[in-house]
Amino acid sequence: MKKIYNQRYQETRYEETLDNGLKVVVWHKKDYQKSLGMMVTSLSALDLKQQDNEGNIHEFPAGIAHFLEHKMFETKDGDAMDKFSKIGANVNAFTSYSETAYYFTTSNSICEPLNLLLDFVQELNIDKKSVEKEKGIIIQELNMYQQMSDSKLLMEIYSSLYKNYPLKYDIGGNNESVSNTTVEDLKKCYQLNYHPSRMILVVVTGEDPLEVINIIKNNQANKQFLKIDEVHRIFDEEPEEPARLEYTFQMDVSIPKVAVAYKLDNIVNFNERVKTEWCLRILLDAYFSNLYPKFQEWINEKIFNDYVGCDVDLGKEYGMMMFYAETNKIDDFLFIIDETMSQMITGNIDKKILEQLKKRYFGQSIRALNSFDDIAINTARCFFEQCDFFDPMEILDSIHIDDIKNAVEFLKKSRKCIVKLLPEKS
Amino acid sequence: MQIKNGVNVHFIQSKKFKDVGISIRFRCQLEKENVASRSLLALMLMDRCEKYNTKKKMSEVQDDLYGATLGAQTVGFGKSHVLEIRSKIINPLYLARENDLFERNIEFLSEVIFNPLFENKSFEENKDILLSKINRMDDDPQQYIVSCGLKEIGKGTPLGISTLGTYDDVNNLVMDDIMQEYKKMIYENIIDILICGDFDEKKAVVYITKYFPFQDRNKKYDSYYKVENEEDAKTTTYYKNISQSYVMMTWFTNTMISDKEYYALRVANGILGQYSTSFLFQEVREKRSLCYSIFSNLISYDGALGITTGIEQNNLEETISLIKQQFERVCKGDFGEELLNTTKRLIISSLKSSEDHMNSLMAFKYQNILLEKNHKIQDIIKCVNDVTKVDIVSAISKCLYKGTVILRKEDADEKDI
Repeated sequence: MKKIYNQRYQETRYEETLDNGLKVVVWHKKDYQKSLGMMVTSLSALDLKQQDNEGNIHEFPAGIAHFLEHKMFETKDGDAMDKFSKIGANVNAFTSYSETAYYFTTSNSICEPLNLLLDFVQELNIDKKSVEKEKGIIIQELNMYQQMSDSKLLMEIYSSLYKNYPLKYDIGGNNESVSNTTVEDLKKCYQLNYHPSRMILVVVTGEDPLEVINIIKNNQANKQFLKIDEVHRIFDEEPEEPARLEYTFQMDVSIPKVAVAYKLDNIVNFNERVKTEWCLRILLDAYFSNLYPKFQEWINEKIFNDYVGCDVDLGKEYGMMMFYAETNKIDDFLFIIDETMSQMITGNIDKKILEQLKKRYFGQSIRALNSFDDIAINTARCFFEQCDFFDPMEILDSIHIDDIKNAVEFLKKSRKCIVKLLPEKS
Repeated sequence: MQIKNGVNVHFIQSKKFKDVGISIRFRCQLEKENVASRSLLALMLMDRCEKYNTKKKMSEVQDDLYGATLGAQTVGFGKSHVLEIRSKIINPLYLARENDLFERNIEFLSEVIFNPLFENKSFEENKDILLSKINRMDDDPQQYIVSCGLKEIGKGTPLGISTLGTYDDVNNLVMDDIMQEYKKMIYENIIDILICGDFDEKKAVVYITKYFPFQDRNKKYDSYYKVENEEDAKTTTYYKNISQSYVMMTWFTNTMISDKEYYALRVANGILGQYSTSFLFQEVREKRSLCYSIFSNLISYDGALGITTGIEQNNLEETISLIKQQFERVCKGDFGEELLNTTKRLIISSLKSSEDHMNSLMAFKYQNILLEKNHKIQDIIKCVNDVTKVDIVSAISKCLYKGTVILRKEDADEKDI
């Protein structure tokens, strides 16, 4: 077991890879009552096609990772949630575009819930009847998100950006893909993606890390896992242009919402990707927030209200940047976004603003270490990226004005699409 | 610790957090006439002040404090209305050189609180923002159903008053309303200043006295109460063009948060609908797949209980009758020792973990202040542990059904009439 102490952030963690391949990280949080255990597989909503080393391709219906997440809670002797509840622990799970995670929190002893977590995630127990029954619940969940204007807007942005890349699907898939999911699909997908060697277990706790790791080792020592073929995600080639240049839909909302999204290239190399993302974030904060003097003018002209924002997301396989707002002046908003992009593309940035933003981000990263959830999920993501937890902050420190100049070269290749959400005509 | 009559400072020491938080709470009576102006006041205070008279300057000073956060919100606590200003800075220990971060943050808050900027531009801008917020809440069916539900059952009581203000009330505000409300806030409201984290208490007292020159005040405001009115229970339907339907069912609990019986009610609510082991989740979701989520919640300071869920329109009747059945089951004591103990364990686990969150620690402290108690978390845990089945049946049987609100799509044929 390796102890890693970070002086600057005053955080201690312990890491070990078990014989069966399971990566274990115990993050020690002194004085805390509560513990969190999170077990994560890199299987995400984007894994709809996987290829093994022999070239075999496995295809799955959209939403399979999320469907599997729902079904994992059924164990041969009852519902996993009930078992956690009985020992005073809460359990939950989520599926995203980068992983599937199962986690519990408790303020009681960690031993029982930790064993339960390992046991229910490491065994799939489904039959046709239970799979059919789950479809109704999942479809209700998907409908719920469809009713929420913000999540609906985001889904439509993704659908506008991508023609083939699975980001175009909702994380849970759609009614059709859920209805078409079979027991065999779920079993195959589980078998390929839930092997210990494809997972990480992160525990954030005030309890003795040595004892925690022993609980995990004892649990794993009693289990046998079949060797599996390594698989990786594949996907059809994605055109450079967005799938839809402009898309409009209606919902029962009072004020229109509009989003402008830019399709960017993907960046495979982690360091380069994180650096570029930081640079773009700095530019967004410099040119599209309170720090930019015109921002106040735009508010005064009622081009938007407080519901306004922007985001940049660079992945190994995709890249995007977006602006969104609630507005009655859609054309004006589109105009200022074009203007903002032209400003950003100059790559000009005041040294003072750069230093100021670095201070802000440093404060934010310190405060994020209060959150057990943030620690666990970022530890898992860094593991799948094969980088250290604090690497992104180190990269931020190193950013220089010239890096920002370089990053805008990447922005120049961006391709735009527009999504409008209009109130229904009554 | 009292620094002036009606102005108190409360320290919560803890070394486990990465930051130091300060929350300044201004409390007065919750009235239909003051909620809108106080909500707008909160937005204006946070937006800019005399010294930092643009958003840019506000951001600059916050960034210089390593991303100090600043937030203002209004919350109802039964009959009381609280305007809270909250800020967090990183623990100055994380900076190698600087060590006056704590003082500079209090100085910044002093500018925000004592030297506000009441300009027309900022007034109009924030009024628009507040109106949009209210619209957005009504756009979201899950929030809209709750506000409809409380408005329906809370007629003539504080429960029926939205703490944000209604669209019309906000729309009718003029600058003078805000300035009058601000004067009351500074000179009349009961003020509690909570500081949480790892900090030097002596210095904190020095800075607070130096930068927060509050005067004595002699007001008293009630908070918790037992909501009651003469309204008969009824079912009301609201329409919105959505594919899913939403339901909120409500009860008056006839138990105050200060009553000993409150803990039995809390366990009863846990058995009914707080957890995945609860009746509602088990019967409505797990056994019949009618919904994705269903919860019952206590509105503790008013003494009310609400159950909400989202379902398909043609399952409305079945769901409502199922919910009523589950409520009856708790009243009849139709639950085993195991469910009782599980529920207690879950409540206790969340009580314990509240010591690990700064916001929960502050909330717990503030509850003690409002209830004029000096409970420790351990005391509450004991109260929960001591609850018996008889207590639960007695507490839940005191609940009075007050009605159901349905939010659904208008039928095509209804629209034509």
